[in-house]
Amino acid sequence: MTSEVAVALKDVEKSFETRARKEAAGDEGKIFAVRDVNLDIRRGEFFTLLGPSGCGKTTTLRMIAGFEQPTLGQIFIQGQPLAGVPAHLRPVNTVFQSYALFPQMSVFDNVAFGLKVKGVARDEIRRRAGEALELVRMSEMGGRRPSELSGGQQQRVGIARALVNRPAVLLLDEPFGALDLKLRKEMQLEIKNMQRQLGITFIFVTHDQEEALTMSDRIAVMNRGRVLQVGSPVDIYERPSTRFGADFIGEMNFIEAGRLAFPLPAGVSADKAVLAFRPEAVKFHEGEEHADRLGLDAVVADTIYIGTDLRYILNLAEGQRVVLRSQNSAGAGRDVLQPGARVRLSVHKSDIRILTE
Amino acid sequence: MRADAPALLTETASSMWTTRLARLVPPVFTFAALAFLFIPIFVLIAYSFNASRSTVVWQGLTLDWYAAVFDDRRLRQAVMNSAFVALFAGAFSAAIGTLTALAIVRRQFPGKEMLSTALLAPIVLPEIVIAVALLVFMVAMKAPLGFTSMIIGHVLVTLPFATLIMRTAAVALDPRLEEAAADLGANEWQTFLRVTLPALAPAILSAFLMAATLSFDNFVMSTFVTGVGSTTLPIYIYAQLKTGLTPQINALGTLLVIANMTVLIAVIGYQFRLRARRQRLSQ
Ligand SMILES: Nc1ncnc2c1ncn2[C@@H]1O[C@H](COP(=O)(O)OP(=O)(O)O)[C@@H](O)[C@H]1O
Ligand SMILES: [Mg+2]
Repeated sequence: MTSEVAVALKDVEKSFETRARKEAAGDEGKIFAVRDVNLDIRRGEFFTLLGPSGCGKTTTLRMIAGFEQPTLGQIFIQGQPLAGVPAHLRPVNTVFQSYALFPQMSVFDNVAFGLKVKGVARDEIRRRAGEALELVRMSEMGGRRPSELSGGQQQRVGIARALVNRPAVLLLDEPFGALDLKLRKEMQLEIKNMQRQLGITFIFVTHDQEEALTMSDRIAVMNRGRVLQVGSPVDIYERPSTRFGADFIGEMNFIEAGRLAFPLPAGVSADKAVLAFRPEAVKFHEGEEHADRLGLDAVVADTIYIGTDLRYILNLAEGQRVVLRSQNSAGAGRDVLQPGARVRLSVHKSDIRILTE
Repeated sequence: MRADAPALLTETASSMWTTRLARLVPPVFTFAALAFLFIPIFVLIAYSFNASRSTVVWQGLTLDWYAAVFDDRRLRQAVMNSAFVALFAGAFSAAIGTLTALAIVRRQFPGKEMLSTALLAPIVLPEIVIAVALLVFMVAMKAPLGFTSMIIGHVLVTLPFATLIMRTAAVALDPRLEEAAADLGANEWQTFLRVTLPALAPAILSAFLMAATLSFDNFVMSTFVTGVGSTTLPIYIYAQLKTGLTPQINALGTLLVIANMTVLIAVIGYQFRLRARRQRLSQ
């Protein structure tokens, strides 16, 4: 694929000087918020930075917006290097987690702000701000103050205020973090539809893996300032490349390869490798052994009934644990295995990932 | 167990009394302090209506002293001078204080810590020292004494207070708002005018009123740097002490109290409305 690159990060690093204890920071008394980050974000793409709190997502976004300068490396927007370009001249807009609406201005004036400071004609400001408010279904609220809106409404205004400027790239830093679950789900769908309609490149930050999987075209999994893997939601979920990524996204079983007779690819040492597979890939074994399946002996430790699913916690003979999840089809309740039952499990070899990091 | 019960009862009863007494202490003190503050003012107001020339005797009601205040041309001039100096000193203090506070809170520069400490030094430095220093400086520069030296002097005295107020406000100002403005394409100047300044407006008003009030009744600095024609009210009243004070001064005091109260109530009302709005925001 040769789609145009909207935003590129080349060997980007950001460290902060710290006065905190030396042990807490790195060797040089610095905190590395972002390290060795290389990303090519395509035009019109919904791109998500996913990772736990403190992994450097916000810092990455702030460097693209121009609020922070990278200590090393380069950032490009549509091929143009951004070094030395101040925030107010960059063709990006940000939707803040804390909304950051101007409290002394009306909703309409908040949305019109970007156009006003750029000297756009009055009639055009009125038209475009009106359209932006319509897009987020807030047309009725133009005369209100931000203090008179709910959290979800404030976030809608924040989105309109950014989109009205027709940015090349929209940056969203955990925009739904302060919303309750139901509203969050609604906003996820709305934002995703909006992005499809407008065709603007979105760079979205979240620590919520489900949110990332449902909304994104591609995801970058981050941990401790580094990007571990970039790929589609399917890649990220089904083919995680690191133990961290496998563990962070969805539920995963890990077994040390050294304990099993499992054929490893050449060059992979058994004491470093870990076998990873999803709970839904584990089956109770029936019939004879297959060459393309890994067989495991286990004892049922616990059974958990969660409505649509049944979860079995199983102790392996090797002293490790495995979780099995099966669809709770009608009538299956009869056959629920009791703790202590001995079972034979099998996992299809194509469902097993061999991880070394 | 039963035998113990009465003893227990009296003990809790007596401890109840002591806690009750203890609870009474703070309000009593507060009340005493308030009385101490306000009784002289009420006495002043009462005597401004006293027909007698003497403050010791009460001879019935009169408004003559108020008439005298409005008739006294030199007194009127002194009030005007004070107001003029207070207006400019307050405005300059508030403006300089705002910019200084923003620099200290928002910017990084070498010597920042020292500057922010140095700015507060005049609060603990005796005012008379600053006054003498300014006088020496003005004389050395061969600058004439008058309104300019008065305003400079009053800015020196009031600036630390204005800066302190503005610094508190600048610390409370969400830096995200300024980032949001820059993000939307506003340069530094536009951000300052359209976002920072409106957000700081209530604090700037407070700083201005604080500085103007301090300036209005400033005496020490004023006596050193005043010139011909720039006599302010405190200097005028002090000069009159020598020729003998009439109850006219009580009437003037009452008028000043009323003026002060009006401004204070207006400000409190304004801040109250603002707080109510903020509370709605946080809900
Ligand atoms: N201004 C700063 N000064 C010092 N350390 C910072 C600063 N900003 C972020 N950090 C550190 O950088 C790391 C990454 O932070 P951040 O990008 O906010 O993470 P995330 O958004 O993924 O939660 C954290 O360890 C954080 O403490
Ligand atoms: Mg963050």
